[in-house]
Amino acid sequence: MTRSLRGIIILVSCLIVGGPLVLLLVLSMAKGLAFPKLLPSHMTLDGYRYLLIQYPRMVHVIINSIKLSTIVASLSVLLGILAGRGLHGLSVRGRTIAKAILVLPLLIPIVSVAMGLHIVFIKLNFANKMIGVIIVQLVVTLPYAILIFSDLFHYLGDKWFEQGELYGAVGLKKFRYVTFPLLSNGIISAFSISFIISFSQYFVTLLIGGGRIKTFATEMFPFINGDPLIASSFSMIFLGINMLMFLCIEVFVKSFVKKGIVVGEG
Amino acid sequence: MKKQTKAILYTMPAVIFIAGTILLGTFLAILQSFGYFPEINLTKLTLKYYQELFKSPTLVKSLVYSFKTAIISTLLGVGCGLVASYAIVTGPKEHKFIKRMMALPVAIPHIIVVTIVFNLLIRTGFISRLLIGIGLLSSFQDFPNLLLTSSGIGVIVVYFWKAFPYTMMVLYSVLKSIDKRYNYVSRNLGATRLQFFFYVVLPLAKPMLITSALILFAFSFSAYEVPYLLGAIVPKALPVQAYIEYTSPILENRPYAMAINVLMMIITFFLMGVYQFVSTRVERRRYYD
Repeated sequence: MTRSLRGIIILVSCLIVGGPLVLLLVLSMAKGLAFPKLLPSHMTLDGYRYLLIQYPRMVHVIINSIKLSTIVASLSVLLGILAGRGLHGLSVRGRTIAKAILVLPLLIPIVSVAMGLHIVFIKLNFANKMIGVIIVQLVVTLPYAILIFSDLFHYLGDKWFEQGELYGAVGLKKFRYVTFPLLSNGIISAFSISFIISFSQYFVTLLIGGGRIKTFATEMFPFINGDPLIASSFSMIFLGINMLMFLCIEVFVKSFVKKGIVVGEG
Repeated sequence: MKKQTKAILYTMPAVIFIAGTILLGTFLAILQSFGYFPEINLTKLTLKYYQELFKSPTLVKSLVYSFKTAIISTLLGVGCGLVASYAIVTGPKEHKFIKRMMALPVAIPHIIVVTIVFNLLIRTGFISRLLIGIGLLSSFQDFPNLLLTSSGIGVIVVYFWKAFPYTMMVLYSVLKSIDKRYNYVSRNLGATRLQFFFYVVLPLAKPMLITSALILFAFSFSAYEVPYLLGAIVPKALPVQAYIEYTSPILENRPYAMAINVLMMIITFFLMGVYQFVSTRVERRRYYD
């Protein structure tokens, strides 16, 4: 590949990825963007102000959404660590079978599975409730967490755990001083990915939540192909909340891992 | 033996949870698609919903529409992702900033991408204004209607924008791990740069390439949000059509919804077989190399 061609490809890729994001940011603050104009006449924070202050029940929806997605992401991390550890210890045959099952949600239409499950959820009294939405969102997020942890355990091998045991770290101590620090980066990425996937679920939340469980995504959805100012402000707030949560989980996890070296990249 | 038991015990909760929900959901969808729906006194198994489904011309159009948007966005995304990640890997220096930027779209959900693409491609949107600004068009009426039409361009653009950086990220580590000496050896044996790419790089990247293409296709084929917001009124994408039938006040329509769901599942099941075939080969390589 010649140098100039490589430069052009990289430049175009960056434009394709970065351009739309800049546009979103500009749109969320643009005032006076009448039709043929390319640039707004001046900037405004009206969109944010409207959504964060005037929009009814916004605070409630945001808190509710964060609560729901935190539960889903935590469960996802917990089951993900267990499964990742388990997969590492299984025989090649067992691992192949288990992995085939665990990646099913990535390949089977969740829309269809959710419609099939809906009637059971109604009978079990899970429908229109937090618990039902948590279960169905967990199905979507769990495979990502498992893939992260199974790769991480594969990469770490047994040596660190064996060494820890040798020095007397057993049981809970082993988890606190060996396993948790080694997994901290994986926990941060798995939590973040699970959180944002859960936070952006519209269809399954609407179906199983029956419109009763209001999340940021279900609240935002009707505005998406409407007024650009509101739609893009909604999007920016969405991203802002998620960035904030990524930061929180990073600080939270790292606060338990003060001393020692952390091995392994999430 | 003890280690094995422990490993099985650790894996079980996730396996039971995923197998339980997915299999139960699938099983019930299949049952209802055959007309078994005791809640409204339908208990006789019948094939009539499938027969009527395949007789209806709208369904065939929906199937073609969903398939078209999914396959085009996947192939474009995977193709561009491969070329771009190859360009970055073969570059002289580490592009930390570019790498980080390419990771961004993975964290941006589809509904936000829809917001952006909507404002880009609508007839009075950014691209139309840009073309008018540089004098290529005189009014927005000259700009083609790209959204909400059967061309599916809006939907394709959204999935492409997610698929392209995703493939790039996934392939980056694969291409990075290719031994540099392969390049010298092949060039020394007389291969051109293009031949090196097609006969050395491509075969090494193939398993990962196919795996990501399958995941991307399965998602874009069966997700509801994007075609609902940007897709055509007629024909509707399969998941959208299924949900419309599902929420119909006439409960007897529900088996139709489930028949559409089963159709989507069969297509992705078929793909899963391919995925399994490919991924076991990847796994084997990991252990025998």
